Amino acid sequence: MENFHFPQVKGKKELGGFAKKRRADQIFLACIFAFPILQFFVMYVGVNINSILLAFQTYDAKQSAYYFSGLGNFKEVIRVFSGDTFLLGTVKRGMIYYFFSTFVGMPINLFVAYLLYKRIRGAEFFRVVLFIPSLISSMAMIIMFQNFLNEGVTEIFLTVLKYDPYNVPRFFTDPTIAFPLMIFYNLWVGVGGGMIIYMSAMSRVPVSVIEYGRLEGISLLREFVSVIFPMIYPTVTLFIVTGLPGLFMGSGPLYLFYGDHALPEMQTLSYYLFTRIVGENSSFQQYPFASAVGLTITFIMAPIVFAARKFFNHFDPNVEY
Amino acid sequence: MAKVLKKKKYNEVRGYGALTVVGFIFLLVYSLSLFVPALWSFMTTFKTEEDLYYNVFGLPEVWTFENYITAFSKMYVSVNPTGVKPYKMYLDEMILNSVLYAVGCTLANVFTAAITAYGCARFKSKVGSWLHASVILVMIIPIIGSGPSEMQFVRALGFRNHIWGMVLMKANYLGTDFLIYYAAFKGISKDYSDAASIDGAGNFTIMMNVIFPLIGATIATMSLLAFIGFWNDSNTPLLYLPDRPTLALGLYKFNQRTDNNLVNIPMRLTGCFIMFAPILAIFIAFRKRFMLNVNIGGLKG
Repeated sequence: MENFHFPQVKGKKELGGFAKKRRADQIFLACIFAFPILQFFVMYVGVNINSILLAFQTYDAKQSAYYFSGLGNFKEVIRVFSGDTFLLGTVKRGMIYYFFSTFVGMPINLFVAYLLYKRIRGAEFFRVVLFIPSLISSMAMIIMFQNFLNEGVTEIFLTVLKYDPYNVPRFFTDPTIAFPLMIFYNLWVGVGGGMIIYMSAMSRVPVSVIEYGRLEGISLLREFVSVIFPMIYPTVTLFIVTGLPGLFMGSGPLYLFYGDHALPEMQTLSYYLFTRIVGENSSFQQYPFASAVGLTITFIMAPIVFAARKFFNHFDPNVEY
Repeated sequence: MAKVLKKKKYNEVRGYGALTVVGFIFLLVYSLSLFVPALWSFMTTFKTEEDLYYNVFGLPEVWTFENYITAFSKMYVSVNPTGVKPYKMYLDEMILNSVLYAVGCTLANVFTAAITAYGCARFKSKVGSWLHASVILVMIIPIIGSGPSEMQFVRALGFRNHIWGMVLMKANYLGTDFLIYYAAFKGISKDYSDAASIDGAGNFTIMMNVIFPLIGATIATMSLLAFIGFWNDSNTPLLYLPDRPTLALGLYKFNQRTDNNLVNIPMRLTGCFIMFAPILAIFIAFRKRFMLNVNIGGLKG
């Protein structure tokens, strides 16, 4: 042992250099992380903690202040949702939106992305076209859609189909038309949704796998189901899981279409909650109830989301490529 | 011969299967469904209200740019900011607000997400892995109805009706953008930063001058997409900038109004195209940039 000379000086020097680098790295990380962390704690953690607290408060208009009132808001939530057909209706309509966007919209998105990935005739052109709805402000899109139906399509009903002016469909004021129309509008503007991300996922599928399938002579549908889908599975399930909260909160852009005056027969819960904080129906009094509704739904939704995530991970084909 | 036997791209579809025909027809009909209303709307912006009434589908009787001129000289929304007398805000001021809002929020959002992703991807640290986890967690924890609370925060912090307030609000790293930057930074070999480090470059220099330029294309595309998103965003201004309206909010207010004779269909549509013009210019100029391949991976990350 005594013969062993530990290279103290040199070692220390090297260690010193390494420690110095580590320290420099730590300072650097502290500098670049400081603001994002602060922002996260204020605008995400803070907002959400406050939201939970708000759900247990009541607004005192005389004092212009909130005070804690126990479970009052939650009792109100239970009372209202077990008896009020209007609010139950908003939840039901949210679910209808959700089911259409998930079970009709998403398959369309995948189908369209697959067609473009396969470079069908005109793929370059369609790719640009599908991008258009995401370039145009939803407000501008809505104004065009509204006026085209109200003026243009109405004109077709009158002059081409010879409708009596009283029988022309009232696209935005007759709830039996307006509600399905809103679902259609959502699907229509969303056709190219997720296109870039799906296509990128598909383009990472190795050439050799595709070639192999082709040599085997498999059909396009088969290629999609057996080759492409398992490989883009993580991307698809990511969209499904992150979209799950929409189960109760699905909605069309009702506020942009109608402002404060959406037809009651087509209002959704998310529209209802939005109008508690903005517009002529909003007031500080309603903040706590709206928060309590949100918290209740989060409470119901969280286990469903986590279960879904587990479920999808369980069935992940785990394709390595 | 080589020319004749030009090889098709490996994933190019051959022949006319039922699926491709159906797909082609579907996309064609969809394209028409977008173009017809857009063309009709564009044409209507050159009509007077009277012309539209008698001639819904035909070409304008007299092509007039009057609507565009009127939009700039007479289109306004009434605002009531604190500390100032209520006044009529015209289009030029709304455009200025839109530019400030979109540029400010884009810079804040892109920069925050990119530097956070950089720190997480290129350095091993507990905080870094915690931040990465927080992005995934926020994406999968379904928090609903924090709107009232956020409204309280925005009021309490003095952000309401201030564009700088919105910029600070949007300066977060959460969301898929982070994952895209993270994947991009992870994909760059450590050799680059090691080489720069041996040459005496500090951490800031390495980040700004070595690594960021390497993913310049990704950052540019994400910035363009963010800019378009903020330019078009009507929800945030609706909630938090009621008296500092951007063009998108102005259009919303204009569309909801029925009180003055300026608010007619050709004028509303003119507003839409004024708003769309800069985006169209950006899209044409950077068309290639939008067709970027991105990788966000799955949920397990």
